[in-house]
Amino acid sequence: MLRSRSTLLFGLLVCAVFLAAGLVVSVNFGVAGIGVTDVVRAFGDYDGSRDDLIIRTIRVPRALAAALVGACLAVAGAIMQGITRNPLADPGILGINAGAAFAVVTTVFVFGGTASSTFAPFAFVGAAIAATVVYGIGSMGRGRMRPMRLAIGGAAVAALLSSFTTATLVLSEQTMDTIRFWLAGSVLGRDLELLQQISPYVLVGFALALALSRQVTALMLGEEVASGLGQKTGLTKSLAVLSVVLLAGSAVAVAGPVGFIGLVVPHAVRFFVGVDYRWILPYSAIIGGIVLLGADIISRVVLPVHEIPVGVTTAVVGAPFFIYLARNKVSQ
Amino acid sequence: MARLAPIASRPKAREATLRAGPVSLRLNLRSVLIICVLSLAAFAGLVANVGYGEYPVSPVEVVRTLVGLGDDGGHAFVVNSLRLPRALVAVAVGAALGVSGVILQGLTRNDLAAPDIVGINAGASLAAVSLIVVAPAASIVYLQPAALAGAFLAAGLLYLLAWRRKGSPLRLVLVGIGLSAVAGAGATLLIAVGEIEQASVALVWLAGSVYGRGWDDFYSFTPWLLVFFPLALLLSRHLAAMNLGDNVARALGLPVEKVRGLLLLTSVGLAGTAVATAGTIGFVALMAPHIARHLVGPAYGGLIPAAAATGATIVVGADFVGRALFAPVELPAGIVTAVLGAPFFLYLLYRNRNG
Amino acid sequence: MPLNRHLLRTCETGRSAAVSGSLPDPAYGGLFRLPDKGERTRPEWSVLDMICRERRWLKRGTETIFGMILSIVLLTACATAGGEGGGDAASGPTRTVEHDMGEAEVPTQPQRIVALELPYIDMLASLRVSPVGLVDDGDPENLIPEVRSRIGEWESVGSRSEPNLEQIAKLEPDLIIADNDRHAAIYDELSAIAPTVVFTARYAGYEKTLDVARQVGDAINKTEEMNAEIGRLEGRLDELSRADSEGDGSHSLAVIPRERGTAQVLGEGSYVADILDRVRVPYAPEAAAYPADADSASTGLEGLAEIDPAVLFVMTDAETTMKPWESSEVWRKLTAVENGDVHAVSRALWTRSRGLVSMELIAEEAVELFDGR
Repeated sequence: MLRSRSTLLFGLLVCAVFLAAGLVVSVNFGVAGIGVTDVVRAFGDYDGSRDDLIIRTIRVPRALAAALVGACLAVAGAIMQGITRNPLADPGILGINAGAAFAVVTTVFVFGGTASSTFAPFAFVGAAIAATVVYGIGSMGRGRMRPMRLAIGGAAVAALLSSFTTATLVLSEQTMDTIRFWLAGSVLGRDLELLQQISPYVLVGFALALALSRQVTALMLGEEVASGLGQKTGLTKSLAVLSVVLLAGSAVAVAGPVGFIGLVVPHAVRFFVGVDYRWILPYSAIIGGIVLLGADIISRVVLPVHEIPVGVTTAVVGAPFFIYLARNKVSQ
Repeated sequence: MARLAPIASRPKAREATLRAGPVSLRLNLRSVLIICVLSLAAFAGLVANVGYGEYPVSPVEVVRTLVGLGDDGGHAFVVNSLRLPRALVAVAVGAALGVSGVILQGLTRNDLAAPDIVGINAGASLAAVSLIVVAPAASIVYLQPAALAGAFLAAGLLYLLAWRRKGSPLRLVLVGIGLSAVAGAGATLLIAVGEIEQASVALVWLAGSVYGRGWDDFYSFTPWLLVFFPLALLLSRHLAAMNLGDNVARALGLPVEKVRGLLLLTSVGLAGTAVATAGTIGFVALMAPHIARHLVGPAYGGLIPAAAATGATIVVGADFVGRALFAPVELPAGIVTAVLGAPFFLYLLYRNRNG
Repeated sequence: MPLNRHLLRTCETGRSAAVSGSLPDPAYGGLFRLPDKGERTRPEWSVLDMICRERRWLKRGTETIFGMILSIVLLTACATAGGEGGGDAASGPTRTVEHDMGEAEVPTQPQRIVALELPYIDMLASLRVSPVGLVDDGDPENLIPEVRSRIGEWESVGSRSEPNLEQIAKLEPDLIIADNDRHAAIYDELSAIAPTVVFTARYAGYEKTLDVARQVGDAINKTEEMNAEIGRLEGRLDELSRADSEGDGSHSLAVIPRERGTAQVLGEGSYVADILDRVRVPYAPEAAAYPADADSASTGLEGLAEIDPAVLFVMTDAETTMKPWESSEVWRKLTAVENGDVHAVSRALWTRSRGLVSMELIAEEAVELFDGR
């Protein structure tokens, strides 16, 4: 599956063009009847009219949010699959999304719905705690981390946290009414302010991931290989987990628990790109962005008034893929 | 992670053999004693549950009412039509979940497998939540059958996807996790887009609660228990043989696929009916088998009744705690079991760290 | 003691169930007994022996098991179909009241009423009937002040989704008014406590709300009074009605804020839109695209900007406010916002109370706010 450097670079450019096209298409879709010419004018000849404002402050942030969340989740999933050598690793399945969701629901329960602009830090804390617990479970004991235990441990932590979430929602119908759309995963109504809030975390997360890409490739080939190459595998893994928390936490803070992107995209990328994480990561980021943008456009088009939460669209596509992987990629 | 039953070794303790037709149960007397103590604990939970409430009833009076001697008018109504069926449903649901967990853990040779994890509960939830949200009017009559059908559908998919070609317990668990995620996403969607009233009903159901369960719920549940519980006992020693591995079991002449199918059917039947009756009361099917194994050892003959009694104690106790903790506001029993289950689960993982 | 007969019945069923609920003894083995060749007296067992014997059993046993499961399914289905809760015969004169889940024998003059959903409380309050027990979700503020002042003291029986059955029983009611959406599953238990009538308040628009009010009036045997009250309300709404529904072409819109600046638009034909229509407060025609009876329609500020009503009613409470919108430039450009015609109205009044008392108050508030633009 090794491709030449120039082919890979060219492919990456093509994907980037697709992502840009996806952003443009996304900006053109919406409830308000705003034509393509208006969109062009909003950027070329901005006059502060309401249509311009809608494009600049509502549609563009929404499209950016979708692309950013998709990129974060895909990269986080790729890193998780790499360091755990588990084809099924994904922030959703391993309970990280559930941790962030529980933290956010608790926040709303305690402080009320008006605290909604301050979801982000709580989502991070929740994601970090869940990631630490699941990672700890996976690496407890002698010997190496066991993919199987990680998957089951993650699933159990996810089950546990979501039953806590349910508990909180049962206690307060108000909280449920406020939060339930968010719980399904949605990028509706995300504004630039929110994106600005989380962008530092995302940047650090991406930088960390890219910096670790060589080490993760070695880890993917086996712990012995990595150690043989003189790596401090413990340090690599800890830093990689940190980047996963930053990326997945940001994604949940923006869009709620969107599942399966982190699972599906890296596999698709690996199929075309091979095993080198220096290429897998940028490809995952761009394709993740395209996929979530597409899913968001579909959610808006299928039922224009009942916006389907985008997390549902991704689940419908991703879940069968997970089962396919479990059937065919797991050999033990 | 597999904990094998020492089926070849003869226990040294005194034992008794119960035989009836093709069934024979060899029971260690110590196990019998422990099972009795566990049953007593479940009974104590039942009595506490029946006695506690707006009209407190003394334990003696509760027992008198239970055996039909109670004659105190006002209390008898509350005890007999509100508290007793609810407490009995809790006991039955707990027992079913406990046995279901034992079988599934034995079947997958995995300590952490439980109907909650491998998607059976999620299948039942998705069916029930769909019915509640999409057709609320039909949900009263058809909720139980729908949830049961959901559980069996999930189990059928699980079996088809994971076992048809090459059976492997590992794949079963992983496919189950996937199914669970799919069904979970579906249920979340329905809660997100449904009416607030129905979403609220669905959520209480998802949390798992025996609130408002009456005699009709109990009567529609017990027949299932009466079929599947003996079936579990019947199949218990196959489980021991299967624990030696598929190849050994096959070499011993056991029709592995068929037995596995039957065991799965039993486990799903118990979990499915329990979930259909009381919603997804989580972690009981995970906890009860471990506690029981710790107490009576790994031989399935004693383990299954012990897990049933343990599960019953957990659920009836959880319901009591849920009612008493923030009275008059009730916590669903499933939330109490989840809170209990968390540290227990972490402890399990820690204990198995080298397994 | 009105409950005597029922008591006797439940005592009996209770006892027999307690017996049948105990675990089965090993006699069940008889069900699966196979012709045996005398081997089974051997005291110890080996895996091989066991498997040989049980392979035979498995062959026939599987069929037996499936047969049994099938019969349970059938039996359960029959039991469910046949099981029929019903009102309890109380002492004293009763009358039959029809409701969503059948019929109930209700005392001619119910004195101790328990109401389990806010609209029924509102409807009782409109006749100045005070329920002895009601659901307030643990916070009296969930009842609108006007209803609170009309019914005086009450005892809370918990939340609308899970009312406390024992507290209801303790109040010894002679009539329970429950809701089809929330309480259908506990209808049997409620009926065992007292005669229970079940209505559906949720989807009611203006006319349907009046129908439900008539049903409630009938259930408490105050049909005349309720009709008189409805007549009075109709008169009052006619009085309030704005002369010209078209006017300058301005429209109103009612929304509920959701998380992160999203909003739920109340569609045409919804409860609120219907009331506004009744008093000729023009409602935005774009709302026709939104469902009348669903919570699910969620839209962003873009959707609001597209409708851009002249007057915006935003339903708020302690947790749901307009705050997330206020920083948005699109929000500030809305006609209603620019003209100061955005009005925060009480969510408890506008969406939850849904009775005659609240409809009058909503109509008054809407007309006043709309005309004051």
